[in-house]
Amino acid sequence: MTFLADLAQTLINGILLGGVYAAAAVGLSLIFGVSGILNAAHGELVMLGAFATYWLFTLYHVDALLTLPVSFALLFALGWLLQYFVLHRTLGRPLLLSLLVTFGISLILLNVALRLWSGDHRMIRVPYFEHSLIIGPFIVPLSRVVACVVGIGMVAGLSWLLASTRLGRMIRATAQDLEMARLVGVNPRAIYAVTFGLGAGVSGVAGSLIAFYAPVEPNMGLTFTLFAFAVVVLGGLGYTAGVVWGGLTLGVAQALTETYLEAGLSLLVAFFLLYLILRFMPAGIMGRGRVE
Amino acid sequence: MARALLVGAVLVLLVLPLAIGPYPLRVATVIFMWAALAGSWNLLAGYAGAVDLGPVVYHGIGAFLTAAGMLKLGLPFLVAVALGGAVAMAIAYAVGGPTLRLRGAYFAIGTLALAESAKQLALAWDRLTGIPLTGGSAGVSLPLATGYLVFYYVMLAVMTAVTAAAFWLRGSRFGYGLRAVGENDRLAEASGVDIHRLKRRVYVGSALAIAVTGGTAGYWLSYINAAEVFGASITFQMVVMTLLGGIGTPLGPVLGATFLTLVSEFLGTRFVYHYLIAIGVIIVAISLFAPAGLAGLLDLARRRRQVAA
Amino acid sequence: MSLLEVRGVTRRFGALVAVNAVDFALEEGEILAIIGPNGAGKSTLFNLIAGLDRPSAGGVLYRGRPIAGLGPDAVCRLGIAKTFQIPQLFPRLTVAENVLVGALYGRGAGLAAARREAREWLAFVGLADKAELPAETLSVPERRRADLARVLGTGASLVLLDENMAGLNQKEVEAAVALLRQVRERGRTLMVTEHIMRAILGLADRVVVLNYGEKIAEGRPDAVMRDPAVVKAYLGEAYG
Repeated sequence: MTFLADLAQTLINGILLGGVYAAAAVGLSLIFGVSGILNAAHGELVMLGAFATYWLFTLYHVDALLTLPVSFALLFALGWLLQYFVLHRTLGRPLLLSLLVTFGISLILLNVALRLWSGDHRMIRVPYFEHSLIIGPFIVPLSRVVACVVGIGMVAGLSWLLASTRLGRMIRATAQDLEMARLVGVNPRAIYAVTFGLGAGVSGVAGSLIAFYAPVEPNMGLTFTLFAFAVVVLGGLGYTAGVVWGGLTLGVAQALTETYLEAGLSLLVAFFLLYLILRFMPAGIMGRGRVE
Repeated sequence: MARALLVGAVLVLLVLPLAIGPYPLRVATVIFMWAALAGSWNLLAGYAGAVDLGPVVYHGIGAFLTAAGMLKLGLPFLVAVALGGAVAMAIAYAVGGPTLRLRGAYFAIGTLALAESAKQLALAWDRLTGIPLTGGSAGVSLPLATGYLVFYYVMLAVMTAVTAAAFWLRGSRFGYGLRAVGENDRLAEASGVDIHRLKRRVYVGSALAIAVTGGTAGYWLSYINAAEVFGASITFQMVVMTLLGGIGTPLGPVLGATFLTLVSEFLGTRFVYHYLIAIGVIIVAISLFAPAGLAGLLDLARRRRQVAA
Repeated sequence: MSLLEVRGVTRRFGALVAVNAVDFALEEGEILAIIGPNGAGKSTLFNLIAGLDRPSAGGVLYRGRPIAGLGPDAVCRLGIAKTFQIPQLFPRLTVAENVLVGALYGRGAGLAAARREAREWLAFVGLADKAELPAETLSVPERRRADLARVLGTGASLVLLDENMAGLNQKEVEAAVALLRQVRERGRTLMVTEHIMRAILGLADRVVVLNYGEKIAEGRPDAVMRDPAVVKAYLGEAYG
């Protein structure tokens, strides 16, 4: 009986993780789907969002949840600037170019962060997240539940924005047919910048959510870049709704590793899973991804 | 004429230790090391067009196996490093088989994922397998070396071998096949080239050079730990040095390694973050504005002079 | 034994059947034309023979040996090479080096012999003066000729030409046809697909007609062009 209970608790942990991972990956997927840019600096955007929440909470005593919109705004601005002034030159050129340029940007962001804040691990303690929900035999930390719910909410919100708003239509039009979009008056450079801004903003908020329950430090970026790639490839490259499936798969795989193997191996499992998928299921678990 | 210059340069380097003091010798050794690493990366990325973001795996393997060979098996340094190189080649052959079937960005991400997996595995190895090899996060100390000329000459040898290989690629049958793969792999295949086999040969050869370099560096520093010898920052430096110097040219990695090593020596240990930030800026700038790197700029300058003359 | 035998070759893409149980044989030294309206499956068939794609059913025999499912490099080394509809090149290698690669790896020649071959074939297609230029500087018609030189340089006995004459004017077409006749005189077998009917009909010994992936006619050019099924396929029901 306890095996089943353990398993169920593990799955719950995995789903809670997965929701956040989906939120942490949807920005990468959006940017790739619209501009064709593989953003190697993605994890650093998540990291910066996490730090935004940390500093706002610690220095200015901003309520943890209120840091979310600020984090979004800051990262949106950074993303918009990066795309408008630097990355627009990579459009229409080989994929590896954007990978290399964003890789350079990630080095810059990481080392600026290290220079400013050192490599120390930092964590916030939010009073109202000190509680855990107890549902039957299962313990569910409130911070993780909030993170997962808000994360999924963001993914849903982003989907709604793309499907039902004018901006969303312009973004989708640009993604599908650049020439036609231009002909109907869309300014591509602005749209790509807004898209990158949205992707960065969402990633920043995901980082903020992670800060609710996990330590924050500059080197976490690389890990989240790889996690996000894993989620996106698992769900299917170019198929944005797939991040939910990808996130859940990765989250559950991690939770299973932590329960049945050991915590230190969870990164190994995640990275190796990414490698296996790239090699054997490049179209993702639903098979709807774009394969090069 | 050019070949005579290169041979002359190698001869000068061979006798250089007689003329210079320990500090410049150390700097030269560091330059040779990075030129060897970057040059190995350049073979696959610059000629075959396959951007590998996980070459550091073989660096780590070389480092730990050399240490194990010396500490556990009592082997002399050169034998231990050769052993590390041989094992690295075997692993590269096995890993290269499936991995090299990935193309483009998938290959880049896949190799990065593999390298990070290897790092995690190395960190957990002693605990997991019960075989004390990597010392977990504490690392492994090697016996102190007496004198440092051996490091100078080993690094010089690897750098020379790798650079010579790049020159050889320019006019040999294998070289044409490899460059064809780099320019248009599907067309190469349709013209009879077994692209997978060619890429794998270069991958295995690079792994050897990288492992020997890693093993030598480990012994030189007398201390290695998994996070550093499997660290992605080593890959990043290999990439930027090659890009800066000129990807796809035989001397590009040497130019890039020389320039960046001197810059980092100049900035010293106080400015390590500035150095890395500068590397990031360089990658962005070179990729966007000067993809041919320093070698390209030199080439451009030479051609302008020819036209003006 | 025929040089090439295509037996019941089928290629499905999901619900779409691009090539449907096509059968024909090709003898050494022949020039065979494959024609048909757009979307008839001609390029797919060529890709299947050249190893660039794998049939869903059926087989291809080259000199009696099954080759379906072999990779394009293996098929090239065996002696079959194809030009590309949108001409492909190794952009930063020289034009001569573009042909050299095929001679080195397709034919398996040594470096010195391969260089001679490359020069010879470039002269044959009239690109000798461009030999040392980077391939990316070639114009589109020049790229098509370079592609042909590349294919010939591989030493292929069976040369597949996938709309190699697209975009040429009448005089250029005549020159191309004359060139291909010379290729046959040098002992190669050709399989050609083109939209320029006059070129095909003057050049080919035999014609196979495809429509919606199926073979609807086969025979000498003049006979095939009078076949009512063929006329209907091209001109539609009203003229049937």
